[in-house]
Amino acid sequence: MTEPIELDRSAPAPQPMVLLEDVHLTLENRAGAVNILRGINLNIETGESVGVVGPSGSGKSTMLAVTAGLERTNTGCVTVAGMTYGSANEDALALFRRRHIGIVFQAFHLIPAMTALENVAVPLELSGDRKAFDAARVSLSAVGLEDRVDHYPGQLSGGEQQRVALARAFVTEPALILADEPTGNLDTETGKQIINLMFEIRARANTTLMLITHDTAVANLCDRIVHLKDGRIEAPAALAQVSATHDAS
Amino acid sequence: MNLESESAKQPSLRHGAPWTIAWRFARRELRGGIKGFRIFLACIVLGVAAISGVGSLVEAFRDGLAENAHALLGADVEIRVSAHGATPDQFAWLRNNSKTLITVRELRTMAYATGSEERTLVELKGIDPAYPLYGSIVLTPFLPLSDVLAVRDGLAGAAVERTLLSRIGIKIGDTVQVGNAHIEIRAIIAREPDRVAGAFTLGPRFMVTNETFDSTGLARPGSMLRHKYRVRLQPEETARSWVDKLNAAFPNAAWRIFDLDDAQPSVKRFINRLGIFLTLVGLTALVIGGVGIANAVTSYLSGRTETIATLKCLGATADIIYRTYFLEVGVFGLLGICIGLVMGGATPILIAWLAGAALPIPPVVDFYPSPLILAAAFGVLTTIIFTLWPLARARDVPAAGLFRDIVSPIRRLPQPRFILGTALAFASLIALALLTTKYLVFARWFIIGAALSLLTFWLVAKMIVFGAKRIRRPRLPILRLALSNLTQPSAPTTGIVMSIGAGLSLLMTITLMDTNLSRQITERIPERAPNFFFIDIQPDQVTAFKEVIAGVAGAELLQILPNLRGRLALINGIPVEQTTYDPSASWFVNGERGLTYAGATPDGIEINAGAWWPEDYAGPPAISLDAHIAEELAVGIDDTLTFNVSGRRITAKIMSLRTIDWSRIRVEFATIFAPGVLEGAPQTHVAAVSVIPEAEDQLHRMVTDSFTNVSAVRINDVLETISDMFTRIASAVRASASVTVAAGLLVLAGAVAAGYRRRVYDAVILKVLGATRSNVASAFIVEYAILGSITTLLATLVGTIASYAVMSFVMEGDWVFNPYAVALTAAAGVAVTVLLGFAGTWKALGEDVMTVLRSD
Repeated sequence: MTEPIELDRSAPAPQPMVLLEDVHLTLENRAGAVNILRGINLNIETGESVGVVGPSGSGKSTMLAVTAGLERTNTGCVTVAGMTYGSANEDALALFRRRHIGIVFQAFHLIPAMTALENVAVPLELSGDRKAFDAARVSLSAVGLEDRVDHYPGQLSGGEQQRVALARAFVTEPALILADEPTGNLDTETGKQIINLMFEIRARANTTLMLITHDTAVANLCDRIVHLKDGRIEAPAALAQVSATHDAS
Repeated sequence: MNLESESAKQPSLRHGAPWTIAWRFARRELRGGIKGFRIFLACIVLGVAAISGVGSLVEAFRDGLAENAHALLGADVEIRVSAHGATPDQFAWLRNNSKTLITVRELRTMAYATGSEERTLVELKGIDPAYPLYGSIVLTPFLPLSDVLAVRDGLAGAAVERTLLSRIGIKIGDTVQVGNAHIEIRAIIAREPDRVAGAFTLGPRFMVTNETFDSTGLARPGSMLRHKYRVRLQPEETARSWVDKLNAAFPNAAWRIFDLDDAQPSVKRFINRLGIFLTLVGLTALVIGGVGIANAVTSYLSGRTETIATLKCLGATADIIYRTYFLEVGVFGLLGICIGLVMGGATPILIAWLAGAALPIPPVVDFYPSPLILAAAFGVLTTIIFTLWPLARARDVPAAGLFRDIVSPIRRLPQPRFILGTALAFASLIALALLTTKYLVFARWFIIGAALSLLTFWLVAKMIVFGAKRIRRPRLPILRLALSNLTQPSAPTTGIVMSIGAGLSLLMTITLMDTNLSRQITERIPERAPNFFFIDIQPDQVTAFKEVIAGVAGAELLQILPNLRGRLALINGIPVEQTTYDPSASWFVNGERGLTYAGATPDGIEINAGAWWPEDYAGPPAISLDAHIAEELAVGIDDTLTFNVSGRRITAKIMSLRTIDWSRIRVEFATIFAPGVLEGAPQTHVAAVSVIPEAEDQLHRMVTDSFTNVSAVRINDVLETISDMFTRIASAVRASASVTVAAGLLVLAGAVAAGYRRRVYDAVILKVLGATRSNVASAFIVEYAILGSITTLLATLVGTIASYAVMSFVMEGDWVFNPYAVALTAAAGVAVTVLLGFAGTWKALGEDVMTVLRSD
């Protein structure tokens, strides 16, 4: 039975939930080296919600992957919930992620062979939680899918699938939610419902949120917005300019 | 806090994830059924069924032999003595020390249809009233044997094999002449308990009483008569103690003793050898199918990369991923093995039902666990060998790709422990194959050959891809597309070339060996080959025999030689049982062998050590020995061999060694004595005569009319019998070897199925660009034609080399290339590859363009 790494929640001094310090990431492909992240510095406080905006290819998703411990940086330091990833191996990162980070994808990424209930229970099952299914049922009720528990992803609409994904992300009561364009594959109305639902649950649990979106209105729901361009976070002044441009358009 | 140092404190991380979670996840995926695992299952089922089927059948035949041992031997103990039979005191001892004793005598002789010119060679068998001691004889009409053979109205009766009736045009109730006796044919032998069905014989069985046998007058001194004394022991007696007593009473007797363990030793040997060969063929099929297993698992896991990445995002460790899919593949592997075992276990039932009476021994239909365990072990090891690698790669699927919607399977080498695991499983497979065979040398060469051919095909496949990538792109788009399909990264070229190539190579080897063996039997008859061998010519008939031959126009007496029987007793004064000799010499050492003598150097012999004695040699006993036998017995010039001839021991010095070409059709003796030793012993003569075809029947009639005791063996009949036997065995072996081709085709089918989606996409894009359906179809056909042709060409090369090696070095015979057989097999190979490949992609041509593009 694997035991997750417990955070030291009793620490007296408040600490940032996410701390990215001078993060660089260069990937090699056939065309040569691509500098995806070029010195990211980001501090997200516990309980804060941060919207990440920027053009395609600016490095938003990669920054999310780095924060989730799914992508390794070339240089720089990533600290989440007080834990610095350093050169921790893949399994240590997986164990950390399963308890403390919830992820919501644009393409839902539910496991097709599992029912909604089983999909939601997976993170708890991985932690060896004997009451995984009870908790998953509660989580599905919280997103309004108590009557869809035995449905397979293929039997659910896009909105329903994203609700299941939300339930799965929140089921472990993680300290941090990473959401990558959660409304990108949904129609406007359904997208709104999903975002409202996500913010509602987040507020209830005081979960920290890093949300990638192209939608300024969605970004504006966050406590703070950071703008990424060419692998760098733009200065607040530049950001204000960009926001104004966005609003005008 | 640093996650690295914190995680090091967590013992759970070092011990990996629990199997229970992996099993739970695997079970959920298994609800999807066997989709994606059909080829995987088929490959395992085929290989395991072949191995367990062959194993079960061999066991069933072994049990059949054991169960019928009493009937097949016809006794508890059998003592075989040649022409002269047991001496009176030996016979008295046998009678006094057994519960029942019967004498069975056998002789090859001629049977003449009364009132017609027809005659044929028969296997005459004389029996006592108590025959058979064990088992029962079945006659048609259903009559007691004693009634059938009894003398009625002064005429003795016979039970015969059905073929005799058609061969000389007689029916039940007709009489035939055998030697001096006229015998009435009264029944057909439907089943002879002490004879293996389908065994090699020169003529049909002709069974009479020993009294009738005596009345034929054929039991003359020196005739090739075999005596079998069959003993039923007292209930308290064991065969071993009885034989010990017999040997103690007659330590120098020139007989061979058989007990139940020795019943039909040649059949036992044949079954064992064929069993080993077919097991190795099955193993080859399993290994070839292994390529299909690996392809199927890789393809299945490719379709699961998104799930794997998602699980990793949710916190699954690489071990959980590995264990989940290991269990999933394991379940299907076990399912395949179980299906294969059921099929293999049922093989004896199926064969007994299908072949029935045609089988040499009735198989005992039973459950045989040991071949099933062996087949299961082979199945498990093969599954591990071919799945560990793709499973290990699944561990390393990068989860970060989910954020970019591109999750591609990893291509780097798995961790060393998985490479080591695969290597260990492979070594275990080879060790198991070697440890479970009695014919280690054969198994070793088979494995080396199979490994070398698989390696060759792997190299060639890589060269095809390498070459196709580098040749200048043809202008013809169809050809260009075909070449691209062979070389693109996910192309299954290597797997297809290896699997089809290896299977086809084995088939090609067997085809070429079959045609070579058949050719040796039917086509390699020398120009001056005899048409007849005449045996049992009495010394006083030699002159008259020569005159008869001289009287037939177109006939030529090629050889006429004295023929005696003798058994090797001592080698350099040491009893032969106590010496060590090459098992290949068993035929010479065990049983009685033909001996002859000559003064002058016979025509056409090749002395390669020592010298032939002078024509008027009058020194101590001397022999000239076959050099091959000398090597196997580890004797040379001046060594001595002692033979038991008609109850007398003769020790002779080896004066020369000769090379004998046994493939020549002529009378050959491994041992030729110098003059002055054997002349006085009971003997007959054997002659080889050639005759023009139109005078064949005349010669046959004249000799057999003049000498009713002389048997004529028509060479063509013998060759046909041998050829038929070879053809039957070759067909069975070829059918078994086809299992390997079937495995290769399964791999091809799997590869075609795995690449189907890509084919559909290719076809759709080409159609969008203006290609017609026939354009796309042509490209697919050209692709498989290239693949099939190169593979078949190489399989022909490998098969040719292998058949040459076996024919030249193992069978020590000549080898010729048979272009027709090769062309036929090769054409079939290419045709099947193209047809199967194209059939799998045909549907792709009909897919609707917009439906495909929308779904993509």
